[in-house]
Amino acid sequence: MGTIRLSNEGTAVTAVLEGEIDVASMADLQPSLWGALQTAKVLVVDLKAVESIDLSGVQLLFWARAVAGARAIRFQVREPSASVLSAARVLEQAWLSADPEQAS
Amino acid sequence: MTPALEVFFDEARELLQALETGLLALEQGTDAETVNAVFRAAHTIKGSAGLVGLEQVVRFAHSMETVLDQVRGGHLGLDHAAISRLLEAKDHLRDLLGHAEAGTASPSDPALSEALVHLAGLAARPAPSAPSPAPSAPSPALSRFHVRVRFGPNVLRDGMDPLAMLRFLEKRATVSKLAVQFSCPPDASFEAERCYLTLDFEAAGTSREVLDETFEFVRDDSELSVEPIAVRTEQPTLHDSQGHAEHFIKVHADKLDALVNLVGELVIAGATSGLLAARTRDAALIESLSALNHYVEDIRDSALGLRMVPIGESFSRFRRVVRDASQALGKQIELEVRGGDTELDKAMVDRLADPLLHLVRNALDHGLETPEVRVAKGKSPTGHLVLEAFQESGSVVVEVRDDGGGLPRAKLVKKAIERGLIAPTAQLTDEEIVKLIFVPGFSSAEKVTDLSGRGVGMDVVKRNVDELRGTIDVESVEGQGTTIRLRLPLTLAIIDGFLFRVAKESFIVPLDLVRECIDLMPVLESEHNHRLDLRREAVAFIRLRELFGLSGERPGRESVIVVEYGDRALGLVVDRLVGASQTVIKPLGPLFRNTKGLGGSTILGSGEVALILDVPQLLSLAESTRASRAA
Repeated sequence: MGTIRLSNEGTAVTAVLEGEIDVASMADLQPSLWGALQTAKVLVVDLKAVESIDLSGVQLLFWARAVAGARAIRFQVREPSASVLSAARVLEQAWLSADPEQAS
Repeated sequence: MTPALEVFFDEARELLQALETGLLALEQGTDAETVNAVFRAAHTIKGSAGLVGLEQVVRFAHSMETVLDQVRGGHLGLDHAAISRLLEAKDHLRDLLGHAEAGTASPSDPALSEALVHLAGLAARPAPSAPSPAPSAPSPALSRFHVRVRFGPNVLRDGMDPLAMLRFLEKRATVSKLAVQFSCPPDASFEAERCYLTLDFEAAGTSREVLDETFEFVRDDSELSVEPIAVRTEQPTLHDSQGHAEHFIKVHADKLDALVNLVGELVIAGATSGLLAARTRDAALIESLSALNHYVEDIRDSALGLRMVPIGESFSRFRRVVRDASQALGKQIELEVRGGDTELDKAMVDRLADPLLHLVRNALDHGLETPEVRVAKGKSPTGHLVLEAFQESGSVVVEVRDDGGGLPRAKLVKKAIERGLIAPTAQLTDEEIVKLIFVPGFSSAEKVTDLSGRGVGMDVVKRNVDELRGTIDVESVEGQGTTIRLRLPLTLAIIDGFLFRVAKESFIVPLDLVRECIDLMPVLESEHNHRLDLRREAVAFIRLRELFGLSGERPGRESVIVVEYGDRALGLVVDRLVGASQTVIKPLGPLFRNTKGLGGSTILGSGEVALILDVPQLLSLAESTRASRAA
């Protein structure tokens, strides 16, 4: 079961996802992320403790990124774990595999 | 359990059966087609298990697949011991699936896994944790396809993961030009458990079969388009032509049941309309409704036909039983299956499985002798067990026949006296002695074995067959063998009935069982004996008015419906014949459930309830009444 921990630093919110990010975790993860997106100017999603991720997890992150885009919130992925990188490779989602600021 | 998992377990069971049937066939001689079929069964279980995330099943199926791949490549021969090992492995796989289905912890069998690795001579090659690419054989034509999958909204909720499917496919095809689209709204209306994914890509070096397999569990709920984008240069293969010859759609049994129920209502509504039309005496209306009812009959037959399956699949399961029992009991037994294509209602086939298993085990355990005993009796050392099915006058007959020792009458009687089932002085006919085996708890076996248990089964077998509105007969010649004959109705749902009246009540008898109808008076010769002289054939008869205790005077002219079941006939004395009537069988209400001679009820077009007679039970009643009169 995946969990989410939120921490604020000014208008920057860090969301740390941990464990198995799958469809069973969505009911917990989505409201938390939505809440974070209400106030943040920067949303950092820390993925180093993600043990596994399925399509629902990737879709959730895609949605968070789209919401952030629509509200001019800066969205960053930090330290994707091996399972996240694997999903990013299979789905060819480069944004999920690296922090865009680090990549650029 | 998600629908996808249900489909997976359902199909895995079928594949396991195919695996076992194939392995048993390979024991009789290796042929490439069977080896391929067995390999593909293991391979498909592995692949599908990977898609639903059953890693333990994947790993074990991979071990089996590896062995079978060696066989396929001609590097490993399958002797008796190897087949035994693979059958054990199949059983273990079944257990793993059973635990996964029940959600309980799966037992591991390291010794068996080790044995399989050893068998394949592949001790150094580790099993992968996920499905690996494996060539299909015979190889389907490889090509390039444009694939577009718009996943259904419930795919994730149903426990399926498109990401896992893509991973699976990557190992069996070269995926390129992948376009991933999530059509999710960038606001709070987003539902995280709903699937918004559409995939668009090209898959090269693969076959349509592989693509179909990859998305098999989501295709009902999703939009899948697979278009070839390269001209195939290969010649059409045998596999292709077979693919065109067999088009099947899997339909949930509940849907068929619902259809049959609806058709049943249609039949009743049709009968009501027919009745109302007849009252109007409007010829055009009557003719029109008659045509309509003709189609209703056709629809009824088609709907019932959908539920009919060949009994052969059920029979083939006994090959393993016979093989294992022969080994365990030190007997040589040859199983012959006849009439496997005889069709029977699926519900009936399912409910027959246990009674048949018990009959087969009894024959193996108690009926057929060891080679030494057989040789001493002047028989061939190999015993013969025949499972046969055929249709006969509206029924399906299933026979379990052996050429073993037959039922030992003296032992049966001795045991029955010991158990207090009959008096020591009782004089039983041969038929009555044979029927002792159906008495609860009766067992003639000198020792209780694991195989056929403790003699608690034959009464249960009889009860199961009774519940199916069938009968069970035994023919047995001491020293020569036993035949157990089950006679079953073709269907449990709708029948063509023959309607008649006694007093104020309506009754129906299955039309298939009606031999003829006659007036009672001219043929009545010896009413006190309750027997008719029917063209010099003595036929017992019963008065339903008396049997069911119906009040009122007998009419001046009574009719007799002569019914026939197997080789037995019976006359039913009734007040008035009405005629053929489509009959939807409904269960009996609690009031009538214990009334002998009734098998169900139905609703007539007029809305009136009619009772359906249970002919086999009436025959037994007539026989016992006759016996008690004679005594």
